[in-house]
Amino acid sequence: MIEVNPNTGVKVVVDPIEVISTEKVLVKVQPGCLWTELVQDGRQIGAVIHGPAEYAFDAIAETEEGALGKSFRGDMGGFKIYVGGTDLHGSSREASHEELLTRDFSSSEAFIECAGGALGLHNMHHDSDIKSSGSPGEGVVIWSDDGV
Amino acid sequence: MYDEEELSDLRKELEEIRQLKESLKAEIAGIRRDSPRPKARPKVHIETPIVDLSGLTESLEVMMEDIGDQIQDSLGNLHDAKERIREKRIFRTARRDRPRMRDSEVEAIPPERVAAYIGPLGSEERLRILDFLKSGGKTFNELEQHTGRTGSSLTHHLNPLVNAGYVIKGEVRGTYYVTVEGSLAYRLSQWLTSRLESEMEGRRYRDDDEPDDDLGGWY
Repeated sequence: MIEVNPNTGVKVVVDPIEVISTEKVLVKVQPGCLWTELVQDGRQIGAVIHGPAEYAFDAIAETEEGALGKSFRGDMGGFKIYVGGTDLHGSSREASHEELLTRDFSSSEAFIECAGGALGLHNMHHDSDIKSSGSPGEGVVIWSDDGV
Repeated sequence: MYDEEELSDLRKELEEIRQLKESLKAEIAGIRRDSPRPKARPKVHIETPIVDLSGLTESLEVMMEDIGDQIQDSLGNLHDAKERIREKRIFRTARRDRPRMRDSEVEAIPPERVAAYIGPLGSEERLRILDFLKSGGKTFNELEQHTGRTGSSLTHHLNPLVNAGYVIKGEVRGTYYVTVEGSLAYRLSQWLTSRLESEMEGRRYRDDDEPDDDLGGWY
């Protein structure tokens, strides 16, 4: 069963952290981001994050005759669902009421409710089955550019 | 197909050319008759380099097609990627359908168009960067170490290569790669160098063997 865990509260990122950092993909979450745990059968498998983040993606294939492709970079606003190992805890602390208000959430409960809604909008339902990567920095981020 | 009138014009032109050829022949024969025989000189066998430009452009086309084939072969191993970047396969199939440029069209390319492609290659540092990147993607630091240039001094040479599409920068790790176009441009530059060196060496060889007129044939 996949869900956001209402008991763990809402955290705020205080130091920039690369939630995905591989040779070809980088997703960096900036200070001020709010997040809550994403759990499956009671075990944390990731996080639902809201706030400023950046991505870079190298769609470049090297061949013997030179490289083909393109590199992308951009901002990720709104909710992002991260599935995978993470060191987010080490770069975060409990979010204050003011920090929640800054992101237009009236309370922790309101944030968690919206985070649950974001899961549904990305078709991640209670009966979805997700296998997460064990290592920090090697997961996946589900995000849409309409900020959902 | 030609109509009768065009054929008639062509025949007329051919006849004029034939007459011109005959008159030139006669003129050359007259000059030979009137001129004193030159002093006998020791025969020096000189291999005259033949610069057949049409052949060169033809061989370039073939070379580029070969490169396209090699790239396709390389991509053959990337099954998934192959599908996704199919539209980037600008090689054999697309090229075959496109008529080759005539020599006259190549010669009509104006300097500004040539400069757009050749200009970014115009320094030893930039060529050194392309040569270094042939062995794979490199970070800015690695490029600094290799070229001996740092910071903005390296960027000054790197940016024109990136802007021209000869080098691509991976945003994730800031890795620089030479593109297929960059690789081709560097290879063509090497080829051009080889041809010019060969031509100039041949010219020097001929000049050395030519008698100096001031010495009246004494050499």
